[in-house]
Order: sequence, then C-alpha cells, then structure tokens
Amino acid sequence: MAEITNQDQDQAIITNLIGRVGVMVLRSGGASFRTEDTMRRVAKSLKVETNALETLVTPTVVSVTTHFLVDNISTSYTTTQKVGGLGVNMARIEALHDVSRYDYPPNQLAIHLDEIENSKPLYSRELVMLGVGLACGAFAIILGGGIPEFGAAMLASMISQRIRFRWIRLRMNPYLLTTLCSIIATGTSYALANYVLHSPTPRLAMIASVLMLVPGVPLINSLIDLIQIDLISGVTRGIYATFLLISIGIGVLFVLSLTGIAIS
Amino acid sequence: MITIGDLLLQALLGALVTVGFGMLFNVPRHTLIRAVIVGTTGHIFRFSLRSIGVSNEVATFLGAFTVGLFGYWNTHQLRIPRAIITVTGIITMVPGIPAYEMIIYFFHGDTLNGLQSVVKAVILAGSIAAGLSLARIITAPEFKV
Repeated sequence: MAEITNQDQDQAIITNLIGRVGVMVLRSGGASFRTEDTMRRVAKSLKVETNALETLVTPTVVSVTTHFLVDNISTSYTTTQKVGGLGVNMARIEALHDVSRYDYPPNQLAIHLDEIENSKPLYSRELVMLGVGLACGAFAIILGGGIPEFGAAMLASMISQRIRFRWIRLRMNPYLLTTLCSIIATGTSYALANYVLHSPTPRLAMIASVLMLVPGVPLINSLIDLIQIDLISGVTRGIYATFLLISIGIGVLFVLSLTGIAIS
Repeated sequence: MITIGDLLLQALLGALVTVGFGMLFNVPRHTLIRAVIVGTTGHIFRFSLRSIGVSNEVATFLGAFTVGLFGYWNTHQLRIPRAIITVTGIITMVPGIPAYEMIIYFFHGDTLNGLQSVVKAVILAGSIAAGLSLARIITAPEFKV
C-alpha cells in the first residue's frame, strides 16, 4: 500500500482548504464565477498555480484537483465537498475575497477561515426585523399604497421574519419555510389591512409583505451564471430560486382561498 | 408632472428598501452606505423614467444598468465584489404586482391572463438581469466566456 508522504499530506491540506473556501463562498450566496475566482486566488497564495488547479463549481458541490510533483512524478489530489444550504451573507463573501488577496500559510489560512465561519451577524435580529419591516412597508407605498398598507406590510413582514429566524436555526427545509412564512406574512397583512387599518387595497400590503421572501440573490446569480454559459450552475440555481418563488405563491394562494380576494 | 416632494419621497422609500435588505443580507456598514446611495439612485432614475411615460421594461433595464455602473464605480476602487452593491441595489425593482396577478389569475382558472402576467414578470426580471449584465460587460474588459 502506498504510504502517504509528508508532501501528500500537505497537498491534501492545501486542496481541502481551497475546497473549503469554495464551499464557504457558495454558502454565503456567491455566484459560481465569484466562487471560482476566490478559489483561484487562494490556490495561488498556497503556491498552487492556475495551471496546476482544476475546479468544478456547482451550487451544491465543489470539486478541486491540484497537480504537484512527487520525486519528479506528476501526481494529483482531488477533494469533493458538498455545499449544504444556500444563504446570503455579504460580509462573509467580502471577508473571503479579502482573505484570498493575502499569502497566508495553510495553518494560518485555516484559522482565518474558522474566524470567518464563527463570526456573528453584523446586525442584531431586532435590527434586521426592523429593517425588513421598513423595507416591506416602503415597498407597499412604492407599489401605490398609503399609510394603511405601509403599516400592515411592515408589521406582517416583521412577524414573519421573526419566525423565519427561528426556523432557519432549526434548519427547516427552505421550501416549507418559505411557504409557511408566506402564509404568515400574507395572512397577517390581510387581516391588519382589511380589519384593523381599513385599507381599500389590502392586496398591496399582501404583495409587499412577502418581499423579504423573494430569492433575489439566487435569481440574479443564476442569470449571471447563464449569461457566462455556466449552464449547470445557472440552471440549478434558477430551479432553486423558481421553487422558492412557487413556495411564496402557494402560501399566498392558500391565504387567498380562505379570504376570497378577487383581482381588482 | 413629478414634484420635488415626489422625488424626495421616492428617495426615502428606495433608501428604506435598500437598507432593510442590506441588513438582511449582512452587508458590512461601510459598504451598506454606498449600497443605499446606489439603490436609491437607481430607484429614483427608474421612477422618473416611468413618470415621463417610459415603459416599465425599459425603465427597469435602464435603472438596473445605472445600479450596475454606479455600483461598479463604488466597489472597484475598494476592491469589493460588486455583487454586494448591485444585488442589494435592485431590490426596489422586483416585479411584485405581475407576480401577484399571475397567482390570482391562475387561482381563478384564467390561464390566458395568468400566462400574460408570467411573461410580464419574467420580462421584468430579465430586464434587471440584462441591465446588470450590460453594466458588467462594459466595465470589465476581461469579461468573457
């Protein structure tokens, strides 16, 4: 049985680190080209030149192969890592982009990656809830609503977001989560708009209240991937985003069937 | 005829939407300020175009294009990935109403109008993507397949 030499182990560690960076960028909502770019820079900083590096990046799995010389014989090491869930964390994308610009030795890089992975969100949950509430409320006015629609959309989206936080922590299936949060947001905004605030157009509050569930990042990334002819990433990300949109629609549909709103 | 008051109101609304989503996306503070400026500018530009009669699709395309260019200008010097600002900046342009109409029409069995709304929503989403992509193509000469 071939023994793993010290060089093999170093190469395994280096290759795994490159893969780990790729997974982290994807999990934070990076598009595939962004992920590959960051992986390439990290590889370079770990002394793996671009022509000794092969990557396969999809939204669900990352594969990295590095080529190196052992006793003048060309050998390679491949790692394949699953991405897990897809989220959005711009600070993390920026941090990983930053880390990739410096030449850290492998163990220091691993420490930095640990720090990034363990970093807390920049804004407290309450602040994010408020931000989301104001955003959805403002969107209701942009859609043509007034103060009642603003209030209904704001409160409904805040409640939905609060519950969403809890369910994300429990790692609920994203489609189930989105459908349920859509029901909560739409139902609450309808109830508030119609019965409490006497809005003439409750549908505007309902539409605006689910804005925080719209998968903007995967959708845009999917289109960017497709335009760059990365078909695997583009199509799979697009399907993921479309299913999320359908989940929102199912939630809205459910509430509509209970309240019987017609197109006005 | 749009007034200064209208523009100020839309600026506030655009800023609120962009900052809210910026926090949801965990955008770092220094970048968030720039994202809000870029998003608000795109929104006001789109609003102004629609007020003078430009179609929703063209106005959205030009608005997204503005966000793409202005966003690039803001991130290039600081070496920040531009997606952080451009994706946050176009949230105000999400085609909410056609999507909602699509659901209602299908719900009531009106497939024809439902499909019309689907196409409208897809074209609007495509306008956003086209605007951002065009901005990306003309600002990154090494951008190639």
